[in-house]
Amino acid sequence: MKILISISIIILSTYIGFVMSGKFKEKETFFSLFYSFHEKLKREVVYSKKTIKSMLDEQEANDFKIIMEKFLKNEKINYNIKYLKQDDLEFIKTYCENIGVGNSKSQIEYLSSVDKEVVKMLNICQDNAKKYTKLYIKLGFLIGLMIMVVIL
Amino acid sequence: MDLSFFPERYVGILNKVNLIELYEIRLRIGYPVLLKFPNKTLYLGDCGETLLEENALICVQNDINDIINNVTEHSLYAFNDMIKKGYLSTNQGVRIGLAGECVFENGKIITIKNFSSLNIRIPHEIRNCSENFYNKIYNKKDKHLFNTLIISAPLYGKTTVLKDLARKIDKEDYGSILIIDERDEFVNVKGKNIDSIKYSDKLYAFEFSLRSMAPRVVITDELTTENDWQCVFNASNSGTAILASCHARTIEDVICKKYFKKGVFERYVLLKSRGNAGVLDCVYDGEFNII
Repeated sequence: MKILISISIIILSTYIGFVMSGKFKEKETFFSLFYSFHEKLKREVVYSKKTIKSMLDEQEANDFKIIMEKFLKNEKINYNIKYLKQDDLEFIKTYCENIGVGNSKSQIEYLSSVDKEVVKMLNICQDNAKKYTKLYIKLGFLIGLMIMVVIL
Repeated sequence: MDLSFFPERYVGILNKVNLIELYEIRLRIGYPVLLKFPNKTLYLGDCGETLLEENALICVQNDINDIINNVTEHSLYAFNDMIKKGYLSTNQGVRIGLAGECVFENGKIITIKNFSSLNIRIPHEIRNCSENFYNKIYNKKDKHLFNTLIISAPLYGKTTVLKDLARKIDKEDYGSILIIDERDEFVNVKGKNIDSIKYSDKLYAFEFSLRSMAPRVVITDELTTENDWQCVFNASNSGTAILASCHARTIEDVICKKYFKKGVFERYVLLKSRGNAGVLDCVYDGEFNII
C-alpha cells in the first residue's frame, strides 16, 4: 500500500513540475509566433504587401493574435498573461507602434533594426523552455522521491 | 454601404443619414463634418444630418487617423502607391481623397503624412442609367460597339455609367471586357466576360493586358494625361472597342483638350452636370453632331 502511494506521489509531483514549467513553453510558443510574424512581415512589406490585419487574421485565436490586435488599435490588455513580463509587453507594444506606419523602405529599415532583438528574445525563450522544463520535472521527481523516503 | 471604417462615434450617426443621396463626406481637422448631397450641403450632427453649424460634429485629428488606420488595416506600406497619388480606396470601392504634407525624396513624392483633410466619396449603383443611350452606342443588329467617351463634370456619374455599361455588355456576350481600374472603383463589377486589372496605370495596362488578355472591349476611367489619350488611340487602332470617360462640362471642352484626338471616339455621351448623377444630357457622333 505504502509503495503504491509513494509511486502515486512521485507521478503527481513530477506532473506538478511539468505543469509549472508550462509558462516557459507558452512563452516560447508566443515568441515563435512573434518571430514568424516578423519574418513574414519583412517579406510582405516588399513583395505582395499583405496588410498586417490580414496576416493576423490568418492566425488561429491565441494570445499572440489578441495582444497584437490590441496594441495595434492602441487598446489596453485587460487580462493577465502570466508568462509575459512587463518588459516583454513593452517591447511588443513599441514594435506594434512602429509597424505599418510608413512606406516599404522605412518599414524594412525598422524591421531590420529590431531583427537581432526578436531573434535574441526567441533564443532566450527556447533556452529557458529547454532548461527549466527539464529542471522542473527533475525537481518534481526529486521532491516525490523525498516524500517517498519519508513515507517508507 | 459599408462605412465601418469610420470611428465608432461616427458609425451610429451615419446610419441616420440618407446614404442613398449622399455623395461626399468631407472632414477637415477643427471644422464641422460636411455632408454633400446633389443640391445641398449639410452638417453631420449627433442625430444625423443638420442644417445648424453649432450642432455639427467637429472633426479631430484622431478621427482622420482612425479612418486611415482602419482603411489601410494599420499597413500604410500596403497602400503607399495610392497615398502618393492622393487617395485611398476601401474594399467596398469607397474612394477617399487625401490632403496632408507631401514627403519628397530626390525630387519625387514618396508619401503623404499628417493627413489634415479627407474627402470621402460614396459610390452609387444606378442600375440601367445607361438605358437612355445604350442603343446609340451599341448596334445590336450588327453587334457593333462604338468607341464611346462619357463626359461630365466631376461627381456627375461617369464611373457609375461605365459600371452600368460594363454589366450590360457582359450580358450581351459581346466578348471579353477588360476593366482598367486604376483606383479600385469598379469593385462590384463582376461578370463571366469581365477581367479587371487594378491599380495599374493606363500605360502598363494597355501595353501588356491588351496582348495577354485579348479583350474585345476596354473600359477605363478618366483620360487626363497625354499617355492616357495615346493609349486609347493605339488601342482603338488595334480594333478593340473603347469605353472611357473624361472630365468636361461640354463637348467643346473635350475638343479643346490638349491631347484630344479626333477620330478615336465614335460616340460622345454628355451627362448633365447638375442635379442627380448619371443623367443623360445628349449623345454626339464622331463628327460632334447630336444624334
